[in-house]
Amino acid sequence: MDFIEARKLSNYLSKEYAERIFKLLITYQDISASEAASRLNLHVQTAQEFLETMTSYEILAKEEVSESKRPYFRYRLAKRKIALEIDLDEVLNVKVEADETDYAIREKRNSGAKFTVARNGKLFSSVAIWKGDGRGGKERKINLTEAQGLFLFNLPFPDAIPLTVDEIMSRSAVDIAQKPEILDIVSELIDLSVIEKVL
Amino acid sequence: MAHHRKLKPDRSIFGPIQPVIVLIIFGVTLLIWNITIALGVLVVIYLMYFVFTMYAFFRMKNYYFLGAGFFQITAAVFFAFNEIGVLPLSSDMVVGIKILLFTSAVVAAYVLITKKLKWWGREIFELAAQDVEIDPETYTERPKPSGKIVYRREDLFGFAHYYEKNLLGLCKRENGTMIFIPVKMNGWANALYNPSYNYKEHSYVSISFDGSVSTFISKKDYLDYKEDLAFDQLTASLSNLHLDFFDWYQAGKEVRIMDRIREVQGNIFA
Repeated sequence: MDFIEARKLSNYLSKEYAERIFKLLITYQDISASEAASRLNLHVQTAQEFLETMTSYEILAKEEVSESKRPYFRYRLAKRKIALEIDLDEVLNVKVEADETDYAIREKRNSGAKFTVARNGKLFSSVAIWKGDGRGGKERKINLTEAQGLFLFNLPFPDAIPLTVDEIMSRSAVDIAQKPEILDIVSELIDLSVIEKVL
Repeated sequence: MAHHRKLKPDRSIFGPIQPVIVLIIFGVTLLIWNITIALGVLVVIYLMYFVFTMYAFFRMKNYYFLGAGFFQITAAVFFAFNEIGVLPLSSDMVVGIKILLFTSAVVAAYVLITKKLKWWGREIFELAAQDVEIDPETYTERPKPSGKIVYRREDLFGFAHYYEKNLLGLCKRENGTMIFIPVKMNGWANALYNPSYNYKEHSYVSISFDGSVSTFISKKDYLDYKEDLAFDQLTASLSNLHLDFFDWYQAGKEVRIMDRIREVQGNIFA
């Protein structure tokens, strides 16, 4: 399941009537949308939509029936446990490829970023970037992890020789295991025009 | 050796304006009231100067402040007893006070002419910029890590004492770090007497007890240069300059430090 699917399912499960519908489904062997709607005092379309969505996630199963009238669906529980599972490695794919960091970086000229030095004076605790002009401008402040603070403390100045992420990490004694969070802040600061890539 | 100056000329009038202000206050009180009150105000001003000077002496441990303080207190005593006549004095006492005043004036003149109470921050920034190229839009308001050094802790404390005593600037010990803040003539009163003085808004070189060195140059100090200098080079240069000074101090060659600084000092009025 990815985040879009999870968001959709969570949205339905968080409905005020979700628990009452599932209670009905446990009590009744099967139930139609109109029966559920009348029992819970809901609009039939609301009940229908909920039951259909749960069916699409295979939480319910539906069966088409016709009792001397036009066909309709009856719904029953397909499983009695609902699990929402997201494989972060698969979904986000944040594995660091070697060539992803094969470029040198340094602070961009006139970046306008304001770095706040941590109490021990050896790393930054946050970086603030002013976005927009005049009164409409807003400050975007990013609180840094210790590894990110150390890394940015050693980021080459705008006129200095640019270094690769690995070189800066080595210079700032940041553990290789923390590379993903370093790459995350680097990517964010590139987007915010604080860091420039030098190929 | 002729030196191409990279700093803008010092147009601060804080130093020369002080005697002028004292004279104006003296003149105004004289015009409004009388000579006794005007001299009384002068005595109060001298006493205030004396208090500030003694504070500076105890803070910086520079004995030449005592010379200045000697003149200030003698002048206050002279005006209070000789001119206003707070207490009746014998003629011998009057002569004694006059001799003291003359002697203290000679001492104060010596201190002034030989620049014993000059703050050398400006020269430090001038030296730091000596071989730095021009490169616009390179300023960034953050410190630069400048490597690691090995030293003995007592040498660092000794150097900090030397730094303050010779008025290169102020030193502050904080969170296992000694911070060296070069102070210019136009900023010494703020640095010394302002209780809310925040060194983090000023340029500094910090040496931590584990040997890490980092350097920060404030925007104000950067804009004090005539041109936009390559900031990375400038920061590295300021750091190296301080480390050279520290090396000389550790090697017992403190005299080299002042020799180097005096190479770039301005005219005799600076």
